[in-house]
Amino acid sequence: MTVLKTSKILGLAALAALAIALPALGQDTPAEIVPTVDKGDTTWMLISTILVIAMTIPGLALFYGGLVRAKNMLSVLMQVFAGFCMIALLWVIYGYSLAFNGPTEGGISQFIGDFSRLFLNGITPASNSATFTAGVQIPELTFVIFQLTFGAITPALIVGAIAERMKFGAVMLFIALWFTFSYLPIAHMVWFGGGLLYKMGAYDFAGGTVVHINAGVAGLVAAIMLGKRAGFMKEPIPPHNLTFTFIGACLLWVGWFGFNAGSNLEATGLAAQATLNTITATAAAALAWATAEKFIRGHASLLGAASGAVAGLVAITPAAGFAGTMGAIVLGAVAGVVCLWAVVTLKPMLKYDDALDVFGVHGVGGIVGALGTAVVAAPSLGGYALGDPAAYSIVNQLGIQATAVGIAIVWSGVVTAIAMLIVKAVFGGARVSESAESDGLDLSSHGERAYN
Amino acid sequence: MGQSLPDQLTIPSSPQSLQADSVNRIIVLAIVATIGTALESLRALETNGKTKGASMKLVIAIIKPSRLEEVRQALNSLDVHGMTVTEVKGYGRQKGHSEIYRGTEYAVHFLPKLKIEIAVEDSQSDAIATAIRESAQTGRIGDGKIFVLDLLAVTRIRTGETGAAAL
Repeated sequence: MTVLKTSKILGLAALAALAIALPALGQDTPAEIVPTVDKGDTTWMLISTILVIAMTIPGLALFYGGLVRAKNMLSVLMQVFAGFCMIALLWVIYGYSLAFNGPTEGGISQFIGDFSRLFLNGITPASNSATFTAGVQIPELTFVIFQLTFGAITPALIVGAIAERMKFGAVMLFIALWFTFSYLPIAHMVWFGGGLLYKMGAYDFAGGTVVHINAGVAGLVAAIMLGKRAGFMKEPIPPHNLTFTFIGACLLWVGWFGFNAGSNLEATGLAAQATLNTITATAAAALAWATAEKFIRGHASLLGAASGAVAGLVAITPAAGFAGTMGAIVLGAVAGVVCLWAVVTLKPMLKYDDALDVFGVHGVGGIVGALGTAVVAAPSLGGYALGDPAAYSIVNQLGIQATAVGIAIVWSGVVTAIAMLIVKAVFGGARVSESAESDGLDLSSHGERAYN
Repeated sequence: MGQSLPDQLTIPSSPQSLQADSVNRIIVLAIVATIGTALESLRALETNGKTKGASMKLVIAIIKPSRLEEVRQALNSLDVHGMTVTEVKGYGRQKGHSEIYRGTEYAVHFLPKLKIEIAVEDSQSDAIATAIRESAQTGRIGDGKIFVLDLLAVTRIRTGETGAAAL
């Protein structure tokens, strides 16, 4: 996703339009490709952007909200909502500049961008960004806000891991620190033309590594450092409203079409393929989770199907534009079963309190997806790997994917640990008091209750 | 009620299933009950002068939530014009069940039931208890219980009426 900043394109585009409008006079076309902005692409990207916003608020907020106890409902909604608002502002202040700008060569620019676009300096409605097709551009502001929504949903995902016990201010500071030092560098490394993992050739179509592994690992480390909820594994902590969780999961699914197919940056056939993959992988994962559950536990539960759907969405994210339809089904089904294992077996085995299974679903699903992308992208398996189809090697690509996954895990883990230490120092501990936790964060942190 | 028929047949209350010794036992019980009723009537006579409401009963029934409408209809046909319903949780012989959320199993010991409270005149209480029993019964475990208590006093807040007039 190399971003070429080309201001002053409007004049050229107007000239091009004029040339098309006067076909009778046009006898010979210019040899060089004149970059054009297509209103169809622009429309698609704006719609995709809005879809991703709906994924986060209210989708993710409701998905998480239903899973916590009634006394913590509003705290989860608020953490997701306020986190979204804060990142939206940080994104235009310095986030976009650090993630998607800077030199494409040189030491530090492999890891992070520069401050050349601080406050979106110099970006106007006339500025354009490149897409994957030579000569086709989209307005740069469209790209800025599309990427804003990715930056905003990723820290919101972590909220699920630290739910029901962290001070509100501590959550906000953590999100700001983590966004700055983990999200922005990894987005830069994976998606910017000069980024380390981009240059390595890592495939991440819509953010399996940048968004899901990144957030999943952060959730795991943050949950461990924060400690378990009072009563964890001793008393029942059942979800308070699975209907909300279902609505949230469905909004996530619908919004994810913007997330995955929007990442194509153009309204093309590949966007349609990514949309289809986002349906089939998800459907396969939901059924796989629920079926496995039926055999292991005796019941196919709605929560299982909804969790499986999210696991499938996570897994297909990096592969959305690389997998064929059948590859997507297999990848989704595998992710559904592996994530079920992570949630049902791995978590109780290691006894960490990742409250809403951010690591189990996003971390593990993201890893399955990132590695699986190397397989399903193979042209011999119906995939759309870049470059010469005959030269594609699954093993080679798997090595690259694994390296990228490893770097993301270590980076996110280390940044999360340091950010949590800072937050604990600033707030004199990141947790609310025992009595506040027992009363519920709605009352103790926000002074209100969800249900009266 | 069709599917609960086998369960009902095991209850030795239908006349056909009575054996000779149970008949004897019932006669003894009847005599005891008669003496008890006589004593109670004496006590009622004694207290009647002091407490106007001694001839009232409070019927409390714990039922399955799904039977509420049937119970309400049955009582309506008996001219019972008021009741209080509370959502309660509890367990008896039915015990609880288990729920699983993402692999974590929770034992749920207390099951949701409804508690109905009806204040009635003494003479009505048997008919009401029978009506509740018949309308709330599914024949499956967990159908609930009916308690009948003496009710000492009733006051209608709006008018200040007391005793049976306030029912």
